[in-house]
Amino acid sequence: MDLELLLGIGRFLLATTLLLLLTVPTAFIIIQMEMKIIAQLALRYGPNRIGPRGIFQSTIHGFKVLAKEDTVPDQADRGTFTLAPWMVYMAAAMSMLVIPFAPGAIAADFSIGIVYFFAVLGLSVVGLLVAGWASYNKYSLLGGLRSAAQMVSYEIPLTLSIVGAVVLAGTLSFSELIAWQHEHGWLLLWQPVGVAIFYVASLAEVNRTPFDMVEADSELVAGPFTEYSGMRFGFFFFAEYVALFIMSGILISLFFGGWLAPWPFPAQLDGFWGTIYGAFWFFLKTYIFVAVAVWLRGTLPRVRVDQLMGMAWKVLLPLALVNLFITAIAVVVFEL
Amino acid sequence: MTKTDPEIRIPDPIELDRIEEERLRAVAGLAPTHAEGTEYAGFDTVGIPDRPPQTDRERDVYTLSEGEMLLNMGPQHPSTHGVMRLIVKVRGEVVVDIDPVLGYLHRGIEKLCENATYTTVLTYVDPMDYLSAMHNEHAPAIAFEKLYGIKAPPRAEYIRALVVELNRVFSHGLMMGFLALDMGGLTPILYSFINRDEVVDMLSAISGQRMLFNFFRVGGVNWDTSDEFLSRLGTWRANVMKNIEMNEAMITENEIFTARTKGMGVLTGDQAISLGVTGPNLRASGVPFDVRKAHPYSIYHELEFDVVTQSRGDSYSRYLQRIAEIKQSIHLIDQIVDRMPHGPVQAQVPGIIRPRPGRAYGAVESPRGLYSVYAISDGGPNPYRFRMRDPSFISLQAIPKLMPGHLVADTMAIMASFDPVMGGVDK
Amino acid sequence: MSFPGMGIAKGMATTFRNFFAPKVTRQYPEERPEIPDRWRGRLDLIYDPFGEHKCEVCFQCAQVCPVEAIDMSGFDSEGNRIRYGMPEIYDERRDPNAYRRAGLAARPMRNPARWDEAIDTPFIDEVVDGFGGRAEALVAIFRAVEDRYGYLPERALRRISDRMSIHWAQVFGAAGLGGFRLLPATGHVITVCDCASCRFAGGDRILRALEDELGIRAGETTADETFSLETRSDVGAGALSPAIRIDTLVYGPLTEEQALHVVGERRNAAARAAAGAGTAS
Repeated sequence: MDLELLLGIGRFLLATTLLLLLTVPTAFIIIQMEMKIIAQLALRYGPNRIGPRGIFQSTIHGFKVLAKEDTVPDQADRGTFTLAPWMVYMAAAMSMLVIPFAPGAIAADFSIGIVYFFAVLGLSVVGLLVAGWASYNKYSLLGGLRSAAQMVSYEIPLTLSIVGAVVLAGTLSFSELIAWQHEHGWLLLWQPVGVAIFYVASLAEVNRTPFDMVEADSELVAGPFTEYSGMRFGFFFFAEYVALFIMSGILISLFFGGWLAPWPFPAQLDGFWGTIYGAFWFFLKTYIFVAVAVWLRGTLPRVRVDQLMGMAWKVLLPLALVNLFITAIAVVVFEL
Repeated sequence: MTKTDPEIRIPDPIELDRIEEERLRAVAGLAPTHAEGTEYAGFDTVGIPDRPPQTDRERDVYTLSEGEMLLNMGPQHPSTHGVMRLIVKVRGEVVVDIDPVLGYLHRGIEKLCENATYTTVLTYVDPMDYLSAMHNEHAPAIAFEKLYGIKAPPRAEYIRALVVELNRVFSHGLMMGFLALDMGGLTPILYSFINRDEVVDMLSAISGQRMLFNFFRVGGVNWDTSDEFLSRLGTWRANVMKNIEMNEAMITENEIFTARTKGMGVLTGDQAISLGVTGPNLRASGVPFDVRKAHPYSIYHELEFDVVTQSRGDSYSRYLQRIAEIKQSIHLIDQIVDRMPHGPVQAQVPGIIRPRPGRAYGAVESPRGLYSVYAISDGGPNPYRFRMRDPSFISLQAIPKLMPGHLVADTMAIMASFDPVMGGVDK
Repeated sequence: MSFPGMGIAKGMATTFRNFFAPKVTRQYPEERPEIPDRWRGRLDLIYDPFGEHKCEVCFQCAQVCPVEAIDMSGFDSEGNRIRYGMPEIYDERRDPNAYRRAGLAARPMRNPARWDEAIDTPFIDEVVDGFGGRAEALVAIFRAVEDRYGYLPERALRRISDRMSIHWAQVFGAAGLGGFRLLPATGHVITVCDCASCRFAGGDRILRALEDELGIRAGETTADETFSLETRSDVGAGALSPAIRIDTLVYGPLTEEQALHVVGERRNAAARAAAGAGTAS
């Protein structure tokens, strides 16, 4: 047991603990943003009584969720019923391991980080299916199947859209990709179509409006989460917002420069302050995209489920493939 | 208290339920427990009665063929426009048949009105179609004035037309919001309510109430316009088109919205006429029938406005039709305010009206269609029979005709485009 | 079927603009809505300009209510009590039945005198005219009436309101807030002041001494119903602390012995009066 290994294990444990702890305030902040932004769009104030300008509303919601009665349907399979929220939450939390928060502040800087990320993110589909099935409820089952179909079909354009970026940068690791962007400019400029496809597909992956058929509250109650109450539902709820944060984080890491600052500012600094500087830009950009997702939620109605699937297979997938071919040809021709 | 004999076993609550159910079934002459494997669909969770079907339609709806399932969009539901239960027969995601179950909001208004004086009846009818309360009062007022043989003074008729058109504007505005809400858009409903709030504050300055106005009387209206009402009317008139256009910008050209409403729930003109659908739903299918032009009442023959129609008859047309009608109503309001004469606002009628025996019919154009009242008087202080024909009730008949072939998710969207209000449906 | 497009962009521009626009919410407890004059939402009985209820207790509303939500009571033109609704809500049977329901012995209605008592109308008219019927003299008029009756009967207050043309609500409110007694007291009432200055000056010691002397606590009456003890906070008006009041006479500033002495004197006087009345009859 040499010191190097022990330090590595210790660092890893610390990083994972910090990440798990980070998910909670992230979810709270995003929920608060959602309540206030959607309210302001609709010409009202949103919660403004708890705390100055209502900033503690989200925390109180968290406590309320903890205080609710925990009901399990009589004929549901208790073991899997309990397991489903864990699976969804863990998928989100595990995929946070590779997010590049700042130079030197990635929990696990794999050389195949991108592949790991998309692989792990797909596990949340299993969680939703299990939730729908274990609830012993027709409507949950329908909702769970719908959500599984939606997430699986949008995985493909999602992953294909970034292959163009990967081919250009020649690496599958996040930190190296950001280094490439440091030299050659943000991948947004090289892959505009890829960005568009990725953004739309990521909204569908996270079940956000306009793609939130799963939780279509004006139709089948709450989809696969109908029978969940209290903290079990809280887990699903948090997992959704954490996944939104993660997707925005990956979007900006891949296409918008990650932790790099935009043009007038120095792109990257060194040392400890460099880490803080990078983290600041990372979080700023991520929350801007989270705010855009919330803005979309307040504005757009829902897409119908068959139109949703049609869009994935008939529009996004061919576009992603075409993008990939053109990028590949361009790389070969221009020797990039 | 004596201690219970340990020999007596008190059954637990689930047992008691089963015993009670068996006793009730024995009283009703049914088999003690639900027979398994019958060809008649018996999913208890949907709440279908397991007695034999009493009509052909019932048998059609409740007999399942291969691959079909009965789904209950229950009375508690975020978007059934009130309390209504829809039993939907689906094959996968496609709707095969729909059976609406009504009556959850029935309050016995027609019967109550038989024990009430004519003036009291006008207070009972407000909460029927609560989003167009002024129209609910206008139709009985017309019928009772015919029965009693008087006419309201001209100023009263103009004030009636004014508040009725205001009511139409905010009711159609709300439909825009509800349609978007049923599809998941969260903000247009709030913009609609901003408009409604202004109008309803204005109407509270003239009638004293915000929603159930109790403003019409037999022979006129209760109060004249006040300064506060007129000033609020002016402010509102200056802002209303901006508000409606802001709402429209969110919805009308939105690609997601059009993809979900164009071509959905197509109701042809002939179908609509044969089903008895009236109002904006009928005019959106191309039939230019408007009660205000076809059977003019009040002062509408003196005002000029167009009867707008759309040609396609789908949900999108019904939405566009209502926006066009908002614009027509605003045009009407402008004319009314210009031309309002001076004079009394209520004819001289005694406290308790006793019209001669006879029958009368009064029909108005409400935001949902032709709203009419048929009253029979027997010479006493109370009407002998007071029958209301509510347009939402008739429109709901059209739903099972239009829905087969669409998806479950469209059920709500198509229903919202008909804009039913359950208060009127159930009375 | 491609979704991004001008319609969505238009909608998003609208919401973006509204994000920065002034909001329409009215923050309720701080900003109240402007209620129009004709607002019919209040549940009030209306007063006429002379301060009487416009309601004539004709029972039409109670009879016509479809859900029987209205109970009412009043006097008819001959002065009889009439009511519509459960008798238990009103007078004579209310308190005895409440006690019976609680398993106690039935005790009579607490203040039957309020409703049907007779008052000396000429006396009250004289008092009011003596002050010229001026509104500023209301408290002095109350004093005079209270001296006469020992408390302010409701009928007397109504007479005052009629005679002086002051709104009934104002008269009633002035009587209540002015510290006048509105219910008849049993026996002589000893009121110990418990305002701040009297308490600092030792009023609580006086109270305890009197409690021991009379054998009762504050709020109770002695067994032979000759004296009752209570505390009020407006007896001494600060300058006479610590003060007590016996019936309408205020004594202060007192020490404990002085207070006991005064009360003792009054008890002897009462005993002599009772004995004198006994021998006389």
